[in-house]
Amino acid sequence: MAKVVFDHVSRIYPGNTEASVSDLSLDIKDGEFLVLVGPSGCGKSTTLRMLAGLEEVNKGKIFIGDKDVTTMQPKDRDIAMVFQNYALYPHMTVADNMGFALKIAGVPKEEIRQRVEEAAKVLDLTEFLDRKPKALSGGQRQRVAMGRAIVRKPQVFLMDEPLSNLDAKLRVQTRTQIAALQRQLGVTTLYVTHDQTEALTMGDRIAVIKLGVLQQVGAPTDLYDKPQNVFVAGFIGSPSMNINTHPVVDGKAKIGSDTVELDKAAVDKLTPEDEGQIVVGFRPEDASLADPEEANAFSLRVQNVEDLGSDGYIYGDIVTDGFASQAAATMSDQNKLTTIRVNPRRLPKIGDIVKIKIDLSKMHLFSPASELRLN
Amino acid sequence: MDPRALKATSVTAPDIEEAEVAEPSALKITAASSNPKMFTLPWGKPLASWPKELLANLPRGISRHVVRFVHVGDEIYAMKEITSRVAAREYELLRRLQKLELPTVTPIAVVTGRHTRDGEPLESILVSKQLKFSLPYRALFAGNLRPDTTDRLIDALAVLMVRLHLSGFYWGDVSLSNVLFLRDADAFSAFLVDAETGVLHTSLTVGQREYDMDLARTNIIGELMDLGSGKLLPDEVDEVAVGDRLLERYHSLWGALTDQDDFGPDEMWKIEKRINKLNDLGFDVDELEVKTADDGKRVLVRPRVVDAGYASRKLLRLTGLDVQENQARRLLNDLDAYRASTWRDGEELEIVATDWMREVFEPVVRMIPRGYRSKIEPAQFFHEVLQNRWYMAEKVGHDIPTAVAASDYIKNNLPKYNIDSKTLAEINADADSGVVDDTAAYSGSSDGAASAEAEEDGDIVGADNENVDSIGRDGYANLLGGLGDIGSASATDGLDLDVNSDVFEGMWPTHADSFGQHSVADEEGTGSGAASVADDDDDYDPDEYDQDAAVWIH
Repeated sequence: MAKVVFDHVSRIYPGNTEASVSDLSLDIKDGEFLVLVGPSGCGKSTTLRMLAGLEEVNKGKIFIGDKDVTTMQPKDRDIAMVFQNYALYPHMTVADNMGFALKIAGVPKEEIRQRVEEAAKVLDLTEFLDRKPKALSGGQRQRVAMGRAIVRKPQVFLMDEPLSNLDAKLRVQTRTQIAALQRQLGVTTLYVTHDQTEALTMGDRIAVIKLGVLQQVGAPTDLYDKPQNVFVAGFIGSPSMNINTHPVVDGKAKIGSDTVELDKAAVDKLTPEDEGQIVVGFRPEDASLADPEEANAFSLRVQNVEDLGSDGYIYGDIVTDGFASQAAATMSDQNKLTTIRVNPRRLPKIGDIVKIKIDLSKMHLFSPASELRLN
Repeated sequence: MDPRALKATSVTAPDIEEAEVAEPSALKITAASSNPKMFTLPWGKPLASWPKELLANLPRGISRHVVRFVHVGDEIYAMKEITSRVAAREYELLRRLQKLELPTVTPIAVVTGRHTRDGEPLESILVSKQLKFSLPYRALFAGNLRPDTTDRLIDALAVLMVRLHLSGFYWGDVSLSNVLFLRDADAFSAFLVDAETGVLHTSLTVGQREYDMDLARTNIIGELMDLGSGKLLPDEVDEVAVGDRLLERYHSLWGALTDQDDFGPDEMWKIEKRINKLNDLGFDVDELEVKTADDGKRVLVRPRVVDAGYASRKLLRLTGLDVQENQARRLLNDLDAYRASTWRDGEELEIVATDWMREVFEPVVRMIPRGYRSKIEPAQFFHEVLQNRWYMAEKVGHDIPTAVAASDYIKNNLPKYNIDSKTLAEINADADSGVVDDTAAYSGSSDGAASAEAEEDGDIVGADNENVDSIGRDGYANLLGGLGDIGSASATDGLDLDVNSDVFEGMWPTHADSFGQHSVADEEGTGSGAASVADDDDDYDPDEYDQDAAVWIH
């Protein structure tokens, strides 16, 4: 096992002027499960492939342990790409299915058996070792496939969207299995996905990447509670954060016809480039219904409500001078409506105008010019 | 990037992730061609439980997905159940590989938005054309194996890998299971059938190529060890040596095609020698890079663009026959012999070729018994008849008329093209037990009873080729500018059909008897009367497709 270090790594594809991955510096600690997440084309798979040796590094260096692997051949890097093919071989026993790659590599028989038994224990397959795949359920077959990677005892596991061709149900089940397995084995793992839910539920830490540039690295709660910029704020969390740009008047945000107090230290950090505006973000669960006369609350025209039993959601437009407006640039789900989580027993009706109060301590403030966090 | 590949895209949605989010609520078929029969298929049922009458009973390779061969009108399609995202991606990639004229299966459609009658969502289906006359490696190992079969398969795979790599295709999942083989004179041709993990780059790095080949080696040795465990591999085959042979063949071919030669200025004839050598290997040189070394005394030559299919293109031009490379070479040789024997050396080859077709080739291939027409390619038949003529002549010490050689071949050799029903059932049961991603099997009990039961039901869980994703979704998305809603095919390049699945409820006959009685006997057999061909499996269209018919002949 080993740590992995990306040291100012860049990748520019031939014929491109823009880097697909630009000046990436990232440490993955020994035994850590790091999830690289971002939208399609953000460079996350390129990053993984550079670590695998499948993509040239144009600038910078990559280390596995203390070894500089930047120019090393993939097979010499002691990595395992998990979940490649892995159909099972019907005539081989489960043990042979798991251990055949070791046999090819010339590992002594006793050692193969020992490693296979270890892996089988972790995968709960011990009693099936001498059976053929035919006798296994789908879930067990999947675990045999995982066993193939495990017995190799690589320094690093690389997983590139391993769940993408499972259907939704299997995905949740397998997600939990992979995370538990990785923790049990303690093998350093780089996991690439576009799915922020996968990232939040699986990773020790998450690295968010956009257009080849690393945006933020941190524990799932760090990214959720303190996103460092507007992109991370909008990308992490489901339903996503409500994010709007509002004018700042007397240190307060003007939301529609109402004004809402802001953190003074944050407002002080605004610069002339921000042109008297501020980006206010809040998660659906960090706001609540307020009394009609309450200060620091804004008006919302309810466009839709959802009762999920445990939670209720209101989707609405901010009201300005009596008119609901969608003009403000927003980044939330649900057709850019503002989303509020409320008690499902107190859902307003569609068409109502309600007052919404944001929990000030949970408000996320960003500079419109730099898009960086202010508070 | 090859401009042909850039033009190949039909899917223009900007973001691949959208495809997953925007799973259509009603059945949606995105197709490269319109086959109205596609609409009558029971899309609302899991593929594993489609009625047997619809299925073509052909040998399948091992796969982690459920795969079936399905009769659709006059054609047979391979259907693979996978997630919509992977289906859309693979469909698109196969289309691009086709435009590059690489040997792959032809993608037909992606079917999304499938739901059961109860509204439960089903996985999407990728539809591709069944490659006629092709066989998965398992089926080849089931027959009477020539001792060198393994080597010939490996050689075909090495050629395929070089061609794919030259075009910038990184496969990420090379294995015998992901390839179909066509007989090609004395050799085989290999076709890619599974591109789930592939990425099309401008060109490949050494690291990408080497890793692809390293994976190939491991997978192939694994597959052969599996055959060994099932006593299907001749004892003398050394699995590891076969895997190593692939690397050796690949590297030597890659070197022959791409290495830089170094000549003196008075040795320019060596360029021609190099080109001839490439032609012999079956490659055409489109472009040569010729430059002088820094000292100005040496000339450096490197082929820049090579295209496979030198002989097959030549034959196509002369005769209109579209055949495999080695078959083409064999036919061209026979054409040369015909020209010499008819004293027409001075005549234009195009004219001689027309006569050769009429007088030599066509009479021979017309002798193929009807029952075998979907099993052996005409060019392969012709080659094997020539081979037989030569053996017979050697034996008796004088020339043998081609018609006699053909009759003898039909009687004594052609039956090897049949697979008996027991072997076929075994091959497909093997394929089923490798399936990993069958949701139905998942919900089964922990002791695996569910999957075993399904198989005993005669419910053939099929598979052709498989795998999960590994490499390069982003790279691919970069190239495409994203791949998303598979429904958004361009008007010129595909069909995009939104279908309310309810419309088809009831259109599908639910009773087997709608298809009439079974057990049609095709007595035509081999034409020699030596065998009777009993179609015990499928009466769908026996004339055209008794490839389905499991036949047992001694």
